[in-house]
Amino acid sequence: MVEPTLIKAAQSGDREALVTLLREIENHVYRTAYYILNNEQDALDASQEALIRIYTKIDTYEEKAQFKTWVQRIVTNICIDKFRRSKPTVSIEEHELIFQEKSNVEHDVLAAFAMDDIKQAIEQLPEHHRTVVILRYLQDFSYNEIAASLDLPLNTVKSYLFRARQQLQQLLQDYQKGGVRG
Amino acid sequence: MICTEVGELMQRQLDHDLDEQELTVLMTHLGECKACQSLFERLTLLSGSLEQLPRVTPSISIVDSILPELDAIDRQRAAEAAKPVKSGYWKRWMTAAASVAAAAAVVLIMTNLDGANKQVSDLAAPEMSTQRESSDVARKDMGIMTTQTSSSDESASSVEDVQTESTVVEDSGYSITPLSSPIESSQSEPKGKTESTDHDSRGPIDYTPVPTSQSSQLPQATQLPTMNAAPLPEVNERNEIPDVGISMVPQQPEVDKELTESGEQLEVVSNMQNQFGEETQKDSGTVDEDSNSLLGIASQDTFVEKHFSPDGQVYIVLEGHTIVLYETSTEQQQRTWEVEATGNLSFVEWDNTSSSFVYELQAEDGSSSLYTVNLKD
Repeated sequence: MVEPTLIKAAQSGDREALVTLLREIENHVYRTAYYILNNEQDALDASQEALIRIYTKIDTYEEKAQFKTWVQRIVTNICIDKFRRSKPTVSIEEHELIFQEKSNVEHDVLAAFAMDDIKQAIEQLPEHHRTVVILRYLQDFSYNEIAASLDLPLNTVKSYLFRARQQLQQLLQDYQKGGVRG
Repeated sequence: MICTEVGELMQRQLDHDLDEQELTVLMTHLGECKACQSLFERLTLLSGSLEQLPRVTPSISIVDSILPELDAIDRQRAAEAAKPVKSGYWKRWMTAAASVAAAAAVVLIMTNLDGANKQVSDLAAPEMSTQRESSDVARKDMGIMTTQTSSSDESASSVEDVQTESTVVEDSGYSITPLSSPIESSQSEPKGKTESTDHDSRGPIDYTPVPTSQSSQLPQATQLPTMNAAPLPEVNERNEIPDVGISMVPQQPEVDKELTESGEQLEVVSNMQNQFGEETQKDSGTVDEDSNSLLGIASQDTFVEKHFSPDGQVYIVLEGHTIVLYETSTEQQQRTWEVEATGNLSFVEWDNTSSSFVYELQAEDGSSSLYTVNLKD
C-alpha cells in the first residue's frame, strides 16, 4: 500500500518522493512481469520500462483509480506488448531455460517439479488469461481490481479467470497422467 | 442442479465469493456428484498451489538501474522547458494552485505598475520562480524577446502577456526598499561555495532565484531537475550539492528591489551579463555569444546575488547603494551600510575569517577603489 501523501508529493514534482515511490512498487512490478514473461531478463527489462513510464506519467494518475491497479495496468500493457513482439524466440529460450533449471536443482526435484508444472501450465495460457491469473494470485487482486487494471468488464475478468483455472487443472492432470516429465 | 451451473459456484468459492446460500447449494451438490467433487478437489489444489507461487524479487535494484535514465529524462525536460516553444511541459507542472497564485501575482504587479512611476521588467509567476524554470526566466531576462513557454492555462497566459509587455523598461534610480521579512523558501539555500570558473578574485557567490511566491510549498529546488539544463557538469550531482549554486559574474550589479504592499515580495536584480545567462543562451542557441552588449541594454533577472561568508553564517547582498548583511539561518538583516558616493558597487571578497569583506566602488569617471568593511566595527 503506497501512502497517498507520497503519491501527492511525487505528483507535485518532488523527485525524492517519486523515487521512493518507485522503490516501493518495484517488487510488485517485477513479480507481474516475471510471471507474464516467464524470464528474468525480460522481466527486468519490462520492469525498467514500466518504472520509467510511471516516472514520466505520474502526473496523469488520477485518484479515482487505485494506485496499485494503475501501476499494474502499466506493467501488464508493457509485458503483453513485449510478449507479442518476442514470442517466437522467447518460447525457445524458455524451454532451454526450464530444462537447465531442472537439471540444476535435482536435490529439490519434487517441489521444483510441482512448481515447474504450474509455471509451464501458466505459460500455455493465452496472454489475457495468464495476466488475470497473475493479478489474482501474485498481486492478490479482487475481481474488481483486476477489471480496473486490465480495463476489462467484470464478467470478462471472471470468465477469463474461471476458464484459466479450468485449463490449468486440465493441463496439470495431463502432465500427471502422461508423465510429461521423464 | 446441473453440473455446469455448479462449475461457476466452485470457481467463485475459490475466490471466497459465495454467500451462505450459494455455499450450501454447492456443498449439497458436491455431496451427491462424484465427478464434481473430484473436479473441485483438483481446482482447490490448483488454487492453493497458485497461492504458493514464489513472490519473486528482482536480483538487482531496478530503481537504481534506471536512475541515470531518470536523470536524463529530467535534463531533457529541463531543456524542453528552456526552449521558447510551447509544449505540454508547462501544463503538467503548472498546477491549479500555482495558476491561481500566478493570477494573484499578476494583479499585484499591475497594482504596482500603476502605483509607482516605474516598471518592473520581469515578473515571475510563483511556480516559475523555482529553479526548475529558472533557466527560462534567466534567458528571458537577458532581454531576448522570446515568447515565454506556457501552458494553455489561462492565468499562465496572462502572466505571459504581462511579461512580454513590460520587458524593457529598467528603473534607473536607486529606489531601495529593504526586505522587511525573510524569504522563507530560501532558508535552506547555499552555505557552501559555488563552482565558480572564472572569477577567482571574488568570494563565493551564490545566485538564488528569488522566490516571488509561495514557492516554499514546492519541493526543494535542489531536487528539481532544471539544474541539469545548465551545461555545467558538476551541477548534475544534485544530490551532493545542496545549494545548487549557479555561478554568475556580475559586471554591473545594479539592484532594484520592489516590495508590494501586500507582503508579496518581488525582487528584481539586474545583472547585465552573467555566467548563467550565457550558458543558457548557448544551450538554447538563440543568441550569439558576442551579443552580450545587446543584452546589456535591457536585461534584468530575478536573481539576488548572495555573497556568503566563508563560514556560511552570514551573507552580503548589495541593494543599490546599501550593503546589507543577512544572517543565513534566519534570513534576517543584521546590519546595513550606506555608501554615500556615486558609482557602481560590486562585491569583491570575504576574508577567510568571515570577519570582514571587501567591496569595490567604481566611480563614474572609471576609477575604482576598494573598501574593507569589518563586521566588528
